[in-house]
Amino acid sequence: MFGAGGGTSSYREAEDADLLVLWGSNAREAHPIFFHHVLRAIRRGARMYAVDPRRTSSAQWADAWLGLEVGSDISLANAIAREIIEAGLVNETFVERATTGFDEYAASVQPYTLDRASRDTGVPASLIRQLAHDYARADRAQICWTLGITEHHNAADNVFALINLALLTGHVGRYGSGLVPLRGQNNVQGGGDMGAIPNKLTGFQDVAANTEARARFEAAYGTPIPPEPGWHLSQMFEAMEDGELTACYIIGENPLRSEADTGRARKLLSGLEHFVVQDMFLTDTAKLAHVVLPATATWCEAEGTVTNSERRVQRVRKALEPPLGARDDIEIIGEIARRLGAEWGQPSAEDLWNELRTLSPMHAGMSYRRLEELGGIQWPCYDEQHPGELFLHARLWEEDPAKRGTPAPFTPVQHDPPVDELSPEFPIRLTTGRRLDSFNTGVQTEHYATPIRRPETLNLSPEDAARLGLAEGEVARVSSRRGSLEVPVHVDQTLRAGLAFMTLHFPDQVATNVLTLDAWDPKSGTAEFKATAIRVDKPGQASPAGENLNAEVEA
Amino acid sequence: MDLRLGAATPATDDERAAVASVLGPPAGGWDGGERTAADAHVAFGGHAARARRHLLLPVLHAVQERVGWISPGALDHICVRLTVAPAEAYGVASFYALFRTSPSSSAVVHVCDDVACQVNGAEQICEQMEHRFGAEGTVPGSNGPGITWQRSPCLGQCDRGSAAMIQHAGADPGRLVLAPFGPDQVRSALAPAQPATVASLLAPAAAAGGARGSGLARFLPGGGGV
Amino acid sequence: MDPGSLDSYRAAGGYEMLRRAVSLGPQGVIRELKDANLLGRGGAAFPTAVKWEAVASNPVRPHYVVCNADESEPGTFKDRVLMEQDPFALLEAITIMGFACGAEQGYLYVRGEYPAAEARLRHAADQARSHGFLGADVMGEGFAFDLEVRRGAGAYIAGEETALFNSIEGKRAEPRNKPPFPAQSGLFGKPTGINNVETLLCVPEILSIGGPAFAAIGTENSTGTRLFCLSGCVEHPGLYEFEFGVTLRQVIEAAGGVRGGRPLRAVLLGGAAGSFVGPDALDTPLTFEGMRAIGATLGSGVVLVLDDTVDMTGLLRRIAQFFRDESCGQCVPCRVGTVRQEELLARLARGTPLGSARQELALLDDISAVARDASICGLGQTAVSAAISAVRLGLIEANGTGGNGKEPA
Repeated sequence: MFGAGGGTSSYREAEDADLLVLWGSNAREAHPIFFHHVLRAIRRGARMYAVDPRRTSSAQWADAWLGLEVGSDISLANAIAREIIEAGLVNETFVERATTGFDEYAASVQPYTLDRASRDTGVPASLIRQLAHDYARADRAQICWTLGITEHHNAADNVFALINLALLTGHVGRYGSGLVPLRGQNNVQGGGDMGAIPNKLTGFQDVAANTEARARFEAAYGTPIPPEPGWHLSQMFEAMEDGELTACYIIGENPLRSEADTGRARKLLSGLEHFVVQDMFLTDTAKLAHVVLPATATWCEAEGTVTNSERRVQRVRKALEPPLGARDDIEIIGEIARRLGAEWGQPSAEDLWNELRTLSPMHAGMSYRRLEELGGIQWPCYDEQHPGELFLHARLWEEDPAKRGTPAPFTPVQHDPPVDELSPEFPIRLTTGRRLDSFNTGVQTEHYATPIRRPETLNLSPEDAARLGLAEGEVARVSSRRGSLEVPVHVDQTLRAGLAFMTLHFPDQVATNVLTLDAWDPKSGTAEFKATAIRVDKPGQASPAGENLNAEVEA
Repeated sequence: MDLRLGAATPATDDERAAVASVLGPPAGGWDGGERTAADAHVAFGGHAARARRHLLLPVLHAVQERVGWISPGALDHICVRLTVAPAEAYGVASFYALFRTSPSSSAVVHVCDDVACQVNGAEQICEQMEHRFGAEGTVPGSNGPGITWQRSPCLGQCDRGSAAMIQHAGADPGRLVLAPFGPDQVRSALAPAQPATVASLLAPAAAAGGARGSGLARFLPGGGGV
Repeated sequence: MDPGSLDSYRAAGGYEMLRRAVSLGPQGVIRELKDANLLGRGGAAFPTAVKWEAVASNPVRPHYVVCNADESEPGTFKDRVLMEQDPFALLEAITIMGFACGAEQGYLYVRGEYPAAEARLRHAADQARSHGFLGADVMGEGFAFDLEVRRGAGAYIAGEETALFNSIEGKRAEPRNKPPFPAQSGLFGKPTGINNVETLLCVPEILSIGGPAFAAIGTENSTGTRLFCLSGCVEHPGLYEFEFGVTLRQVIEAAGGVRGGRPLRAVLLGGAAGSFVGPDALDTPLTFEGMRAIGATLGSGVVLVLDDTVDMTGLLRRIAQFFRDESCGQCVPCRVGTVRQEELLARLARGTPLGSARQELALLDDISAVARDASICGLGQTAVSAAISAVRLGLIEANGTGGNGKEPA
């Protein structure tokens, strides 16, 4: 936000916060380490609100749970904003000095009365009002979110809605207050920081707009760099469909299982002219490839760095030799480069990192020596004297306008319900998510046993299970507009009537993404995993007429 | 907090009523009450819920008195109402001698065999109890109207020679202290004609055993005798 | 006086000392207690004024006051009698304590085995509340104080002050490490004053006659009067109040002497956590300092008289069983030490010592030292005292018998 894409606050600041809002985050199960900091905060008296369609195990720790309808977050956020404005709780000094666009924003949230938001979300108006007042009046408040906000067709707008609340109340740029996107994989933050996103060079330097940066990279790399942004993953799939993209080189990703609408993903990946996968496991995606390059386990068989949700870059050290045949990622890429005519020598991870430091200002001061000495450094770190930044955007609080710099913009956004609409034929809202005991598509976690892991189930509310005549453990047929599959039912108290839940952890047993819709956000590229319209029947009952009802039960 | 509840059978109406007699009725479905539409989009918990944690002992007393023991179902219900982890609540219930965590007779006779009663024939009394009611700790037909007896540490009746306390559960629960004590007193003490009422407990000290041990003898300067 | 009647209590002068306390103000009350040199009657004999002052002056809020009515020391019954016979006096005393310590909420923790006392206290509290002696504006004097009666559930260790706090908080009655002490961090982690029933009932007395007058009673270091619980082999067991300084012989004689005129074998002073003294100690003055001088303790005022017919071995084994049962289990010296004591005494009784009886007695010394030095709380620290004193007195012979001619079982 405001430029670089990283959380504003360090983990430890949560412990000193007065109010924490977990918005679209089941941190208890999906970010258990961060949740330890939340628990410390709670023990010290902090209040916690959970905004989530399900009353998850995280929500069960909250002082109040707002069980909103899937995809109604903007309505809720806008109503909170309107209430804060009405109640005179806006941080006027901050808004005046450090933001732009307040008037349009205030006008844009006017229609979102408490009653309107209550209708959109299902949450009682009094509770929306309570959260608004509590958040605005807290001394230190954080909003923490993850896929519940971003796995929607309007993901970027959802995030803007939350940013707007922080700007309205001055809960950013100060110790203990901030905006905290909790990242999923241990280095997804780092991946973006390094430039593995289609519109940014390393260090979030815009490839199109930042001509000075592009010139520096071109000079360093000795090759011109196209100034147009590339494609993100959802755009790549569309390009495959249009025949524009015919070859693909995938490193450490399992899109056959992690993408929405598995059927479509399989068809498109299978249709590539040339498909290369570099991974440490033979994933289902790898099985479709023409060439598989076995890579090392980077967390123990290679040197390098990773970056976490609090922007902390930390060293990773090689501890084991990789098995025979697996090779280091840097080595593999170097070999491919050589065969493509570029001789890069045999740089170590540190050599590459030091080159990166000359090109990415926010990493410039992070020598390996300093990373080791300090136990990791939070970007930005502009030189070797710089200690890194605990929290971002402190400049917004500077008295001197010159030091304050560019004000942060309000971004008005409107409520836009999920694309996969509910209908009499598909009357139940399915939302997907994760459990503590497994990780994403299960590739890494399926190989160890744990007593808390249950197989995949279709989680239904007690009311829906009773209405459908389905008992615990009974197999049901779940269908969406895209696909259908059979899965045992689990009666789940955390769900209300009309809401169902599944995970993506067991694609071999139940390929949940057969059902989901790949309506993706043009601004972020993430698909709307969180909102699918389904129907649930007993197996053998007539399925609705429609295309592509292949049940992907066994791989 | 997220609780891991695991009782095979849920709390009975009696057990729920006993808990409600201390905490009031549940606020809603998330609080141990009936699940209704009002629970679909909102729940409260957190600090306010955990603020009543200190009422765990009064709640356990209420269930113990009503039912005679703290069942797993009752404990799960208590945990939901007070936001306590079941393992912790079980640790508390099993710590205290007056709470029972397995099915019990509705009447348990605690017979003192501690130091002062030892020198006043407690062993003989225990022998007689065993002769009459079976071995110590026997539950005749689980969870029924029987009588179980067990040895007890000092009951604080050392001025009266021997002592026992009957802990009885049910619709009209109570704790009856009998001092001095003999096994003959048990059945008549439990007979319906003589429940321990508040009035009888409040009556000016009519100690069993007459003048001996009925009061306080004061030996003060310039005072002298009793 | 009818213990169930507030009117009867007031007619006898009840609640006048609360008014006196208000007119003195909190510091005035504490000064009187200081002048009186009141020491706690629950067993620890800590200066009460110091405790109250520490709570009153603590800036952390809120403050709490607690009355420890969990009387469970074997041989003790004084608090039961006091609560059954004068419940309103106890409420008044606790209210004075709340006023002086700056607490608006008090707790009265009474053991579950005292149903009559509990019923009378609850009834008295209801009466007091409905007549304005508890609540938002006590007696119209402008301060708030209310009291919650809590029932114990059968745990001797709950009488330890920090374990009692844990019990009120809904937890296992496990003692906490001290420091911090209750005046710093007590109930719910807040500054708390906690006192025994008998100690509290001295307070209205002190306010009535004045601190110096109270200090003039008894001895210089043990002021006022004390309740002694006479039981065991005496003619007239019961509760006897004496000035401090009375001798053990005088107390036993007041209770009618050893019953049946039998010879006195030993006296257990202070309960199971106390120690035995022999006939040669009969002329010891019963004061805190007098007891210290002979290596004994007054504890909770237990005077358990034992004649020559008593099975000493059995008694010691019952004491060992008591401590093993009642140990909360938190710390090794006590959890394991109490088990080892029980096993050791059983071996001696069976005549199957590990090595020799002398070696067993040396082991007992060792267990005692570890438990005394390293236990978290007083239970562990005193669990082996009675046994050690019995050995010193020769109540256990080196050959393991009970010294009264009885052969080992």
